[in-house]
Amino acid sequence: MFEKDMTVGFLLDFYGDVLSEHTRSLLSMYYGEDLSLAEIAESAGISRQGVRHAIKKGEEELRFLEKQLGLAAQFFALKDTAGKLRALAARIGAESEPAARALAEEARRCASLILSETDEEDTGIVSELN
Amino acid sequence: MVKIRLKRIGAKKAPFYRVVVADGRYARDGRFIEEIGYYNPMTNPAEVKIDAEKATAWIGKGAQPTDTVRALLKKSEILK
Repeated sequence: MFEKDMTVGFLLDFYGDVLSEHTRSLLSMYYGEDLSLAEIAESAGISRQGVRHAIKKGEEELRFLEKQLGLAAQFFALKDTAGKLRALAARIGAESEPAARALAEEARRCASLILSETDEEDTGIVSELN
Repeated sequence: MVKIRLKRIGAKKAPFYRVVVADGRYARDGRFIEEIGYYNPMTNPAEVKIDAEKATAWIGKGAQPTDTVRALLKKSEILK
């Protein structure tokens, strides 16, 4: 039994569509619903060994994609920076002249827009889980 | 067998998990008996909130936490 690494769940959000339907569904049962290999084997009608193998392969694929493309890392960096920007804009807005305050408010709105865009991506994979 | 497991909710790229008690026989259809807490891996450090009383009561009745939930129970010092 290998330990579940919950970061695989994130990677599945980014690269799930690249994987085969089969692999994606096994990974989402394993990470999204926290099922055991035996439970997945039963519901998918394949051996426990087969499930384990497919999940390992899928994980490797996800890690390879992240290593090459870095979308998840980029996403978190962007989110982090937008959060900082929003906080800064709020501070500037609180301290300055009315004209500058309007600009700070605009900056804050832009940062919020980036944050909400990163927050509200389509929920393709997740809706399967709910 | 009754299990205590995580169940993902939350949007894409913003995972959030409920800690639920569920009947192992209906593993795939997602229904669960009771929600006893949540786990939010998006905060730093990750936020874990589990109802200790309910968790110990269910474990006392023979519910099996998954390895992931077991780790969270240890982290929140409900299990040693």
